[in-house]
Amino acid sequence: MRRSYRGDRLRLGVAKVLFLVLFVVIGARAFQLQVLQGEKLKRLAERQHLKEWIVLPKRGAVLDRAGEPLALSLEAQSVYARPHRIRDPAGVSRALGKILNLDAGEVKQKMTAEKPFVWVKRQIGPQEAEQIQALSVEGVGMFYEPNRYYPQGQLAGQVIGFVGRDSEGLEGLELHYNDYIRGETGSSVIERDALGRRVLVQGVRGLQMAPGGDIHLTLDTSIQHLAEKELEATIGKYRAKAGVAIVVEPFTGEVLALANYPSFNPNHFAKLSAQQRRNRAVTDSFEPGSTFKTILAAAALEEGVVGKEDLFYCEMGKYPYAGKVIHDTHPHAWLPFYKILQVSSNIGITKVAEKLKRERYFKYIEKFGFGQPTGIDVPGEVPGLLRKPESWSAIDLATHAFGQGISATPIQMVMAYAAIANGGFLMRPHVVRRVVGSKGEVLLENQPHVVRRVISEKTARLLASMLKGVTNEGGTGVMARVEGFEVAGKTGTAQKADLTHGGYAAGKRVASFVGFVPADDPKLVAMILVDEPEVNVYGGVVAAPVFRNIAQGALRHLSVAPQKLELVPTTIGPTELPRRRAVKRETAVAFDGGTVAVPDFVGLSLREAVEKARAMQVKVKMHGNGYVIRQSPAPGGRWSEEDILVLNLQG
Amino acid sequence: MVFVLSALGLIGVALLHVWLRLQVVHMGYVLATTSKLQNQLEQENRELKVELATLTSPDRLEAMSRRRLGLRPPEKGQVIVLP
Repeated sequence: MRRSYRGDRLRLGVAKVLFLVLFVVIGARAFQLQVLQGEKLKRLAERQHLKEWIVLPKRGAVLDRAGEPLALSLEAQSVYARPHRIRDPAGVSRALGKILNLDAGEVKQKMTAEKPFVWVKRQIGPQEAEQIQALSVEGVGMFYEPNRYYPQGQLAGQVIGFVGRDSEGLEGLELHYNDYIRGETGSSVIERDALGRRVLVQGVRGLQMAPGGDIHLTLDTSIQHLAEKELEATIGKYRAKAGVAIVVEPFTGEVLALANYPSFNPNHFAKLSAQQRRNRAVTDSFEPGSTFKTILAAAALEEGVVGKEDLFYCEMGKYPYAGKVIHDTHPHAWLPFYKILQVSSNIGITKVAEKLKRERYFKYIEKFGFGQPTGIDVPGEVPGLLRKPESWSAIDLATHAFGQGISATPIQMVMAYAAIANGGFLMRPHVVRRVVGSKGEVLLENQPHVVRRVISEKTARLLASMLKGVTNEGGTGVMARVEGFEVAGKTGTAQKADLTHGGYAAGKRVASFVGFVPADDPKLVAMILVDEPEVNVYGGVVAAPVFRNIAQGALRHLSVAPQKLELVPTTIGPTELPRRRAVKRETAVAFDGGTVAVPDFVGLSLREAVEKARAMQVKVKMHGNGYVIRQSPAPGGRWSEEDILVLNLQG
Repeated sequence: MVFVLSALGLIGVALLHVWLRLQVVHMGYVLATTSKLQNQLEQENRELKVELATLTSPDRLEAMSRRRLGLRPPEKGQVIVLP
């Protein structure tokens, strides 16, 4: 086939022009779309494929001193409906009602409401959510909302408080530390495709909001549980109205347990009354009664107006004073000062107060922290009621001496006793040790804080030794004794003010016990308060046993060894051991002028090893559980009695 | 020659750009899926934490150890203080 060159040129030229025109047209259109209408079209497109993504705040956890969680946040789904989009309200209502366990009629009412958006049910379980997902009805959807869980239920409920639906703390620590644990809310613009799926083209940085910090408490879950259990048992037994138990570490002011009765489970906060939510240890003040005599005694000793052995005449139980008559429960004649505290004589303490005078007494009441908040880090603390000495009438000196006519919160009482226990320092109590951020950084740390020195170390020691008398034979607090330990403390049985008629309400009492243990090297201070017990009203009968049970368990939990070994009777005496462990007798220790042949512990169970070590008075250190597999030094060698035998055990 | 080479280069760059865009979108999908999975796993982890804490609450542990194992607080002689 022959083609003319000219013809080819012509066709090429035509093609060229055609393509040129095409390019110009395309270019012009592109210019029109990209430049002339660019902004407008871009906005339209973004509206279609960009979506604002809300990042909900992640609230931090609340943990006890061992890291046991007390409050955690989860996201739960909430079901909503857009009524105008629902085609078959009756059918949908029936289906939803069945899944969510709601009344179908009520659901239908919501479905037909003249609103663009209604909540059907908030915070549903994962199974319910799956079923609704499977239902896939037009106009019904789900939305993630944060929800707060308190896995330990009522444990320390009033201290922790609770969180409202909008993720704001409303009570307790949840309120007090809200800014630290709330976490940040954020929003980020994300792209989505034609099917509405998320396409994270810009990465995830915008979606990662800093979660709230975790609160680490000073509370010890075990001691807290023990305190709540003992308090509840006693309140049931004596048919009381309410009660408080506080356990504090005296040298740091760390609160180990703070129990309230009635209890409060923050998981169901909406169903419970404000009465139950109240943290009475800080929000309620009581007339302390005889436990306050210790404050007067501290002041009198510190000012040097009395000595431990000074004698006072106790008027055989009836003492006319400032136009009234002061009574004692039991009549006494002459009592030394320490006995006045031991038997809790109102007359005796009044005579001490007369020697001290009201201004000096008042100075110490204030120094011990009464009449002002302790500064504990929970909301709602009240300062109690304290009247200036100028306004005291003549009888007021006497009533203040035995703790009537003045009101104090349980936390104030326990901190005042902590000051006696730790050698004279008033500490600021706290329940939060630290707040730790999501990256492990410490956002806040509560260090032990000394408010002031109240009394000298010498006075504190002397007073502690006098308070030991209260729990010894002849004292009012014998039932507070903890086996193996010396307890220093004071009982109180206070009359309750009648708020409607004035004066004191007949028969209504507040029984209490405040004390610390071990008396000479205190590990904990505890205050027990039982409000309006009916069966028996005396602090020494109602509150003291609660102290004993809590202190006993707490000391064991804190592994504090009993100081007085002779006070710990044992059924497994050394003489009994050979009979029980006859097989192992050949391993008996042979003394050899200060050095001993190392006894053989290998193969013994933990229990046997402990018994043997006790019987032989060998100092041992054990690692692990089960049976002894290795010991150091090896059996048979020589070692002196000061050496420690290290045992490795394995199950 | 130069014109052809530069045209090819231009086309190459354009194709590379398109390929990169596709990669970005593809990675965006992968990221979205992974991030969703991460959220799910974190949620599951938190749920398990709540469950664990509920199961190990002192109240429950005490009841279980008393009922199932017959444990009780030690008697006087059962606490041995080592020298």
